Amino acid sequence: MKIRSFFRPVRNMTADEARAFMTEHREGSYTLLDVRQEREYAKERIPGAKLIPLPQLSDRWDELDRQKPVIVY
Amino acid sequence: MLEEEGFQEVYNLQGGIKAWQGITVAGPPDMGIELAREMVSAEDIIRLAYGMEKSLGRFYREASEKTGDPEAAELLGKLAGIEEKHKQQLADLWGAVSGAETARASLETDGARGALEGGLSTGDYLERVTANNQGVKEVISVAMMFEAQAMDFYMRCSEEISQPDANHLLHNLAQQEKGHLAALGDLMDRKA
Repeated sequence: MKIRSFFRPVRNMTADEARAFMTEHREGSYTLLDVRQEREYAKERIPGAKLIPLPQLSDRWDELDRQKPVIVY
Repeated sequence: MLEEEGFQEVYNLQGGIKAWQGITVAGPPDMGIELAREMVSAEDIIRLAYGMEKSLGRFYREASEKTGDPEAAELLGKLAGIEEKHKQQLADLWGAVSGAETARASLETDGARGALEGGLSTGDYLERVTANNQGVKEVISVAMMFEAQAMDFYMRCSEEISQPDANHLLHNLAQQEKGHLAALGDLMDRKA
């Protein structure tokens, strides 16, 4: 199942663009969302990322603030 | 179904974490969170953060004294000084939040754990940094790791605490750590 099917609209962002975005925005003003499995998250993640594994996403929408930008990986 | 979810602005990070090529952190999602669950007020958060800064400052001071590299020693000394400033900032914040005039003394003598944050241990890292006269870049790398883990810890804590003032404070602390991380990154670039 593609991540794009969970959100609309979805735009792509390069790593450099993501870094610039995160530098420009205060922590708490956006959500960095990790949709991998917990094992992968525990091994390595981008600092500050919230974990919601993809299979759980449709059941855990309410944990995300719909008004905040979301960067997903 | 997707339209109903109402997300306003969504970005897909192209290439995922493999494309990131920036600093990363590790550890389970609940690492250190038992500390967050004990925090019921802004004062609790400040006390925890103060303990963290105190531990990190102690680490930097000890590493500065033990490393055989003069440049690393100087850098570590500067980092220890920065942590002192962070402690004072937190003490000022405590005073503002609690109205206490003796915030700094209270925080210093508090039995706060001061564990180096989110479950990390200073011992192994101190040995790693000082053994074999590790150079400046290794020192900066370790410092960046600690700062990144601290930022990650504050953000994970913010997911656990819904009280608005406390949540806002955690975001502010994470933002500060992000700033420290950026400054260390700039320093690393200059040393490259």
